[in-house]
Amino acid sequence: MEAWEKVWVKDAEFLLSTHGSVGCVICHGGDSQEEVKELAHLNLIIDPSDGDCNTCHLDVAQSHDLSLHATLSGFKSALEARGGDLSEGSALATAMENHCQECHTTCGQCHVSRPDELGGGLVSGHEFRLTPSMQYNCIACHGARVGAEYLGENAGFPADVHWTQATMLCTDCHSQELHGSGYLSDSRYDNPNVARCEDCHEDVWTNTEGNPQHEQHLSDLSCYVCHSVAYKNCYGCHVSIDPEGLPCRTSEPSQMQFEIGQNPLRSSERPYKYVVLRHVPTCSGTCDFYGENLFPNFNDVSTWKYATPHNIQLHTPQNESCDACHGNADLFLTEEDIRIDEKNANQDVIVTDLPETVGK
Amino acid sequence: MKKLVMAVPIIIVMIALVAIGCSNKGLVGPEDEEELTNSCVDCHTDKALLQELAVVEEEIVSEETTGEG
Ligand code: HEC
Ligand code: HEC
Ligand code: HEC
Ligand code: HEC
Ligand code: HEC
Ligand code: HEC
Ligand code: HEC
Ligand code: HEC
Repeated sequence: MEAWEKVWVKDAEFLLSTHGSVGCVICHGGDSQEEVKELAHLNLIIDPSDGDCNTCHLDVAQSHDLSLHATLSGFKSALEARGGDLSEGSALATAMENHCQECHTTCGQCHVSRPDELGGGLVSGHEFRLTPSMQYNCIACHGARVGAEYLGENAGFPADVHWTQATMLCTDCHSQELHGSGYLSDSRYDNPNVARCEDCHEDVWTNTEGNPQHEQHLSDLSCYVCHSVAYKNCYGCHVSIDPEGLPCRTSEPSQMQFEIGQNPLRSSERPYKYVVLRHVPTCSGTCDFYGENLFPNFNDVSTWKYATPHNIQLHTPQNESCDACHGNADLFLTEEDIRIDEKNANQDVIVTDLPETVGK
Repeated sequence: MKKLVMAVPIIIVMIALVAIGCSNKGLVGPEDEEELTNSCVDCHTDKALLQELAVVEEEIVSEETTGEG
C-alpha cells in the first residue's frame, strides 16, 4: 500500500456517517484550521480508538479492554510462568515493549485500519467496517501460522476445507467473542464463547452411523487429531541485531510437523485425552540480548502446546484407516522428538505407549 | 489522562448531536456555513495533494500479511 493511499479518505459518505460527522479533530486531535501539514498535525492522535470508543460502545469497550487482544496477557502469563520478571523497568519488560507491543490490538485495527505491524493504513476509505477484513486485519497479525495454514500457503500442504469448499472467512467462525469474555484471561484457549467445531457439525455426535472412527474416538481424540495435517512449528526465536544495529527478532527456519500428544488442558470442555501439539518459538535464550537467564524456570512449562491448526481436511494420512494411526510412531510426540534441553519441560505431554494395531 | 481529556469534547459533541438531530451542518455556526475551512477533510480527500505530500516510508515487505501469529 502506497503511503498516500494509507491516509486517503476516499469515501465521501464517511463525512456524513455517525462516526465521521463528529469531525476529525474530535478523534484525532490536531488543528483543522491550520493549512500547513506539520502544524495541522501537531498533537495528532494516530490510533484514537485506543480507549476512546467507550463513550458510545461501552459494553464492547469494557470487554475489549480485558481481552487478550488488548492486554496481551497471554504473552505476559507465558513469560511469567517461565520465571520471567515483567515488573516495570525490568530487562524483560523492555524486551516485551520492543518486540511484542505491536500485536496489541485496538478497535480500529479490526474495524478501520491495518495494524501497526503492517505500517497502518485505512482498509477501505475511512469506513468503520462491521466485519473486519480477513486479509488486512486478521491475517495481518495471524499470518505466519493461522493464515498460511488456512489458505494453503505452506508448499505441499492443502488449504483448509472451509476455505476450499465454502470460502469461509475468519469471521464466519470468530465473531464478537473477539471482544473478549469480559474477564481477564491468560490463555487463548480460555474464552468460553470461542468457536467450536460442534457449533456447525453437531450431528457428528448424534449420528456416528457408518463412521466407525467417530464411533470409537469422538470423546478421547480431538477433532484435529484426525482432521488436521502437518502445521508449522517454530524453534529458537531470538532477539539479535539487525543491519542497522537495532534489536530484531530472528528464528530458526520453521518445520512442518504433525505431532499427537497428551492433552495439557484437559477439562470438561476439552475432555480429549489426545490432541495435536505445536512447538512454540520460545527457548531459554530467547531474550538473552536483554540480559542473562531471564527465564530461570524455563523448564516448568512445556514447549509443545495445545494446538488447533487451521488446515482441516476430510481425509488425512492418519485417518485413512485405523492402523494408519495405531502403531504409527511418526504421528506421536515421543521422547525422541524432544530436544535434549527440553526433556523435563515436556514430560507431561509426550506419549509413552502407542495404541496397538487393530488389524483394520 | 488522554482518555479523560478526550472524553470531555466527545460527550459535549454527543449532547450537541442529540440536541440538533445529528446533522453535520448544525454543528457549524450559521455565519461560517459557506466558507468553513476544514483542512483535515480538504487534504485527506484530495488524492493528488496526498500523493505530493506523502512521505514515503520503507515498508517491510517480508512482513506483509505474514504476522507472527
Ligand atoms: C470516531 C472517531 C474518528 C473520526 C471522527 C475520524 N477518525 Fe480517522 N481513525 C479513527 C480510527 C479508530 C482509526 C484507526 C486507527 C486506530 O485507532 O486503530 C483511524 C484512522 C485514520 C487514518 C489512518 C491512520 C493510519 O495510518 O493507520 C487516517 C489518515 C485518518 N483516520 C484520518 C481521518 C480524517 C481525515 C478524519 C476526518 C475526515 C477522521 N480520520 C475522522 C477514528 C476516527
Ligand atoms: C458518537 C457515538 C459513537 C462513537 C464515539 C463511536 N461510535 Fe461506533 N457506532 C455508533 C453508532 C450509533 C453505530 C450504529 C451504526 C451506525 O450508525 O453507523 C455505531 C456502529 C459501529 C460499528 C458497526 C458498524 C456497522 O456498520 O454496523 C463499529 C465497528 C463501530 N461503531 C466502531 C467504533 C469504533 C472503533 C469507535 C472508536 C473509534 C466508535 N465506533 C466510536 C456510535 C459511535
Ligand atoms: C480482534 C478484532 C476485533 C477487535 C479488536 C474489536 N472488534 Fe468489534 N467486532 C469484531 C468482529 C469479528 C465483530 C462481528 C462482525 C460481524 O458481525 O460481522 C465485531 C462487531 C462489532 C460491533 C457490532 C456489534 C453488534 O452488536 O452488531 C461493534 C459496535 C464493534 N465491534 C465495536 C468495537 C469496538 C468499539 C472495539 C474496541 C473497544 C472493537 N469492536 C474491537 C472484531 C473486533
Ligand atoms: C494487531 C494484531 C491482531 C489483529 C489485527 C488480530 N489479532 Fe487476533 N490475536 C492477536 C494477539 C496478540 C492475540 C493474543 C494471543 C495470545 O495471548 O496467546 C490474539 C488472539 C486471538 C484469538 C484467540 C483468543 C481470543 O481472545 O479469542 C483468536 C481466535 C483471534 N485472535 C482471532 C483473530 C481474528 C479472527 C482477527 C480478525 C478479525 C484477529 N484475531 C485480528 C493479535 C491480533
Ligand atoms: C471453520 C471455522 C474457523 C475458521 C474459518 C477460522 N477459525 Fe480460527 N479457530 C476455530 C476453532 C474451532 C478454534 C479453536 C478454538 C478453541 O478450541 O478454543 C480456532 C482458534 C483460533 C485461534 C486461537 C488458536 C491459535 O491457533 O492460535 C486463532 C488465533 C484463530 N483461530 C484465528 C483465525 C483466523 C485469523 C482465521 C482466518 C484466517 C480463522 N481463525 C478462521 C475455527 C475457525
Ligand atoms: C461456522 C460453521 C463451521 C464451523 C465452526 C466448522 N465447520 Fe466444518 N464445515 C462447515 C461448512 C459450511 C463446510 C462445507 C460444507 C459441507 O461439506 O458440509 C464444512 C466442511 C467440513 C468438513 C468436510 C466435510 C465433507 O463432507 O467434505 C470437515 C471434515 C469439517 N468441516 C470439519 C470441521 C472441524 C474439525 C471443525 C473445527 C475445527 C469445523 N469443521 C468447524 C462449517 C463449519
Ligand atoms: C478417529 C478419527 C476421527 C476423529 C477423532 C474425528 N473424525 Fe471426523 N471423520 C473421520 C473419518 C475417517 C471420516 C469419514 C471420512 C470418509 O467418509 O471417508 C470423518 C468424517 C467427518 C465429517 C464428514 C462426514 C460427516 O459425518 O458429516 C465431518 C464433518 C467430521 N468428520 C467432523 C468431525 C468433527 C467435528 C470431529 C470432532 C468433534 C471429528 N470429525 C472427529 C475421522 C475422525
Ligand atoms: C488418528 C489416530 C487414530 C485413529 C485413526 C484410530 N485410533 Fe484408535 N486409538 C488412538 C489412540 C491415540 C488411542 C489411545 C487412546 C487412549 O489411550 O485412550 C486409541 C485407542 C483405541 C482403542 C483402545 C481403547 C481404549 O480405551 O483402550 C481401540 C479399541 C481403538 N483405538 C480402536 C480404533 C478403531 C477400530 C479405529 C478405526 C475404526 C481407530 N481406533 C482409529 C488413535 C487412533
